[in-house]
Amino acid sequence: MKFSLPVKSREEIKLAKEYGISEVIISPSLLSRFGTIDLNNALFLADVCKEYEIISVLEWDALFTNDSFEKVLKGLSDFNFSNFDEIRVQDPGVYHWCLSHTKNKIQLNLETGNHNLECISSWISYSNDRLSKVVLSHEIPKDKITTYTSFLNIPVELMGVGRILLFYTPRRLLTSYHVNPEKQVEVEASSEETPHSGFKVLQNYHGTFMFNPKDQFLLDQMDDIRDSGVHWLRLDLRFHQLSELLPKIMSSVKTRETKSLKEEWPTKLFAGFFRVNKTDILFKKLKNKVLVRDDEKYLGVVLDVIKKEKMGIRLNTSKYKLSLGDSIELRTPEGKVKNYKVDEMTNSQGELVQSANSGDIIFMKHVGGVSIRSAVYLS
Amino acid sequence: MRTAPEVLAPAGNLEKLKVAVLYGADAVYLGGQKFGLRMASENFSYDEILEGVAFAHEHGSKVFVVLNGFLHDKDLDEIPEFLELLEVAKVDAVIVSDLGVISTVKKHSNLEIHLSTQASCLNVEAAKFWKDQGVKRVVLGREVSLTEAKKIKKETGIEVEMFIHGSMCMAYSGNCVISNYTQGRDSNRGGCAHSCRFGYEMDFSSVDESKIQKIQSYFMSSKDLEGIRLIPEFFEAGIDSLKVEGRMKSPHYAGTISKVYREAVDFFHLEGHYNTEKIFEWEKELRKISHRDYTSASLISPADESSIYDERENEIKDYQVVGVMQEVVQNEFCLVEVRAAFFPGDTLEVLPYKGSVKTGDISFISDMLGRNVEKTKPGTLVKIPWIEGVDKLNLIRRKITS
Ligand code: SF4
Repeated sequence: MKFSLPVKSREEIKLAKEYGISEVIISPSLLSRFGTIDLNNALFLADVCKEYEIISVLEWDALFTNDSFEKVLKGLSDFNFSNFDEIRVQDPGVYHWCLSHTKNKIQLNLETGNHNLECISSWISYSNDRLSKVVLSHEIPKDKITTYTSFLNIPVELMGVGRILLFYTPRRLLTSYHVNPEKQVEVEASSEETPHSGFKVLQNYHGTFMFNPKDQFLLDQMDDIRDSGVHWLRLDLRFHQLSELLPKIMSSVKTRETKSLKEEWPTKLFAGFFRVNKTDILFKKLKNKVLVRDDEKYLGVVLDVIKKEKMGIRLNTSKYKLSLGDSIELRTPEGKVKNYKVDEMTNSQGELVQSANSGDIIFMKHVGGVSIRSAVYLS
Repeated sequence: MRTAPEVLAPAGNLEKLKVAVLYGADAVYLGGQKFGLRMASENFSYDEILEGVAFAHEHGSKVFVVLNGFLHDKDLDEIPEFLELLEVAKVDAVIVSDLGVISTVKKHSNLEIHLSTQASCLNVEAAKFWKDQGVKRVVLGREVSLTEAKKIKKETGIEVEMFIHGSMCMAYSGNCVISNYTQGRDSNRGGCAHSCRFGYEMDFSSVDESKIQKIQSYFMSSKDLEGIRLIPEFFEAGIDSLKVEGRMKSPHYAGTISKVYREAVDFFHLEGHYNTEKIFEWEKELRKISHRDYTSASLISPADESSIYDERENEIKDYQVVGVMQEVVQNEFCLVEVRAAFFPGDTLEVLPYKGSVKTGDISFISDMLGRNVEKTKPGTLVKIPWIEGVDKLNLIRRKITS
């Protein structure tokens, strides 16, 4: 297992080397969502990496509409990409541009979505062997990761520790509250409409970001991570005191003792979706299954009911017609089922009709227990 | 003469599809029971898709089916069968956001592929990438301006669709997982809990220059998009399709936006100018459907603070749909499916498929048994006097008096 670490200074690269980190991520503010250094400083840090023989990765993960993208490209006209070993990209446009305009190895950040093997493989195959790794979403559980790593022909990275980004907009949402739009600011937000509180909200040059109140922490799962075939673990300490936490993390990894580290961690922690992801399980509850049309023999819907007297039905299908003598099944929204043999039906003018087709409204005797919006099927 | 862009309306169910098509939409988009982003919406069963496509094609409109969730492996396994059904139904395209789904669609069908806005295609380079993947049309991210869109189209030759109206995700589409982590519902597979519409208390005490400490705010909520005044700019930019958000919204919404944008596009297409008083009429109509305050968002320049809807979630609604015409018997009566209460003596408005609103004096209301009705109840069928010039499935509405 190798470790990757975002850094901002020469001191942090030195520390990274000291603790056996294999690769550092350098994030200029022009290109990276959370970058804080300028391009010259980024180039300087890439030189420092050479000195320490550590892989340097230029992070270019901000999203750009076309005008800003063109501006960025102007700003990069003399930029020496070859100073970096690799470039980490996220936007498909940046991916496309880097493949045709640079010679570096590319790391593709697939943390936003990309939750199936077909998708990940397609991204990889587009690169013609230029990709050195892909960064997988935090939402993919370990059993899936294990499958993926056995199929993919390049290494994968996961975030081992760090803030979880929940939301990214280019709009500056804090500016109305008298904060300087040019400066990076961070506030805490809580809502009574969710049981969670203390969301960090950051506004910077690229827009506004919201983070989960709890950081992701997978250091208790190191064996599982290794077994799942993950090659790289990112220690994303960019929002924390790297010099304090890195030594403790690396010692925890060695001793497998995480208790004191977790106690000292500045936020609450959790393992995200690494064990299991059931975020589709609640979908079943989001709608009344009884009201979902079952196509087999569907006829229409009850539009009106006058109890013990009459009901009005609209036929909604062109597949079947309803004729006198047909047996129908009426399924109420509460799930009750009533059967009825049609012995008489009329149209809106009170005339007797023999049969009815799609779009027709017909009236018949009310069947006890049948209510409005009941679905009508041929028995 | 320039080609007119298509008016693309949302169809949350079969009724809304018919309403949108009858009121003038050139195309509608809908979701099946799975694979989309609106799990709480009714959506379409397979037979409904068949009927919807047949109805739309009969009226010269197209149907696009959304498969735009960020799907997981098990979802993907079920897609080929659904694709086969969509081909049989002759849908005109599928709207997709995930590269794995694109690859599956290509392997298992000949369906035309449109890239969903969920994939946040924002620039020329990204459009080139998606074109290489076999995408015929991109629905651009809502952050892209009209001038940028024009460039994307010109430099890539790909068809370009843009949102012109409706609610907006505050995040770059596909870049919000608040619901996943706070509600256990995958927002990118249809489980969004609209956490951006919540009120938040923000603590500014750590921000040096801030003059405030704590504030209650709806700082993540976006105003709704409205692009009715920008029709000439959409033409000028060569945009192929004008999309309206809102599969979860009412038939009134589907009907109104289809009618208004149809008339506006036709007017500019035929007249070649937009100096018309009709703009005020169209705007008035768009204020009759439920909406938050409107903004043009980033269509002209990047959306700023004024695009935030800093109010409790509360859509403005001046008009209410009270019924839908189910049958019109000339010179005799109209049979109405009641959606909200109205009374004998009321004057109601009927929104015809073309032309100005009709009004009708409701001199009588009777129920299925022919008895007089003093106040209508939603979910009933009633007869009202015949109103000249109205059609089946026309929407009937009433101004809300405070
Ligand atoms: S919570 Fe808001 S910003 Fe997030 S996905 Fe839902 S609508 Fe979009």
